[in-house]
Amino acid sequence: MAAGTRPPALGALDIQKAPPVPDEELVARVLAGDQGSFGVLVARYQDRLVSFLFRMLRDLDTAHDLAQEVFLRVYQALDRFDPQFKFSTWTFRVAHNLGVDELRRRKVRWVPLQRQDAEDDSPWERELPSLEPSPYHDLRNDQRGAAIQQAIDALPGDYRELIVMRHYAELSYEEIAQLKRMPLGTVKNKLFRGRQMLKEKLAAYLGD
Amino acid sequence: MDSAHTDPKLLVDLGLDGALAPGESEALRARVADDEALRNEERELGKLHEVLAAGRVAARPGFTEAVMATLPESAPWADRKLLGWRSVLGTLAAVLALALGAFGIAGAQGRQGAGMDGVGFAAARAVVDFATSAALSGAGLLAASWRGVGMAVAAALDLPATVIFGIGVVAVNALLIALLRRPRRRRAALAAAIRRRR
Repeated sequence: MAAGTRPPALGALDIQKAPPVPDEELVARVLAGDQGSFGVLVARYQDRLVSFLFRMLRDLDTAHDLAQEVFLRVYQALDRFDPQFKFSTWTFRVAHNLGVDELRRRKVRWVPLQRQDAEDDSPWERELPSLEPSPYHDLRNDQRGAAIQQAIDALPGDYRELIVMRHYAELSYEEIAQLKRMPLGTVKNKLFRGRQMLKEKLAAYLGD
Repeated sequence: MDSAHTDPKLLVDLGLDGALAPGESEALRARVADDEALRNEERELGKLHEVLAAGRVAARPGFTEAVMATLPESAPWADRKLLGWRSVLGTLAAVLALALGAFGIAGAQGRQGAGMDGVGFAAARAVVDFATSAALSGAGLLAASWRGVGMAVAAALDLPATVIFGIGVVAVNALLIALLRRPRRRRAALAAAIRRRR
């Protein structure tokens, strides 16, 4: 041991520096009968899933309900999980599909907010802000909060989807590329362009 | 990404998002240090990242427990595995029962006639005959259905060319009309939804 370095307290190193158990390892444990390991996966992904679904659906209650449904579906099909893909990608694909189904289901009740003539026919175009209380409640009177929300909503479907996946689902570029079946370069470029559009729309709020 | 041919703003964006290789990051740092416009770009994008991150929401307290409470007590995949074994065992048991049944019948007949020597052979033959009949009837059904498709196609081809052409024109027109009508229907549904909301 180098001079001047103190030995770590017994066990402290293990506890403090133990890397998180990889998702695939947790899946293997669940399949081996340790249901508690699924709780670790839920705790690991719940915020990102709720955030992602909330941004997609604008309704916190529905986001929670659907996130719960996502975990249930994932659990029920866990033996079909293909370890050559990432658990996160698989989970968010289930979430995305459920979110899109929910938006389609609402289609008749919901009215397009804007851009009816847009080329993009993504169901994400048909969202309306929910009347339910939202996490933005505290910011309701905050012009900036409203402007950010509006700026994201006004993005073309593909760009908005990628922005939400990156900033709310916190997926990596590679995960997004896998999820959207897009080349990595396209993901980078679209995210860049999406952020440029946001930056332009929110110029007044990004100053010092 | 080949940074030599990339928009420097894109590199700044990727750098802020941690998507550049260490070498590329260092090159970008040097470039940003010399360029005020890039420094502004970096500052604004950094602020945008912060603003977007502030919009994240967390799951409600107790969400994990709520999810865990909804999970079925017995793992569904364990049931599926069990079902798989059950179906294999069930099939084997059925075949065995069939064979034993056939063996019994043949045995009874054998006692009356040719004696016990031909009993095993007769039982095996009965099982084989049964399997052969099942396979033949399956193949016959398949062949009949394909023959039916073939006859329908042949009958269609026997029609005069003008009739086939006419049918084609009508089909294409019907398709075009359906495609043109769809957005109008969607607009009407949306208008009705707006009226209902009012």
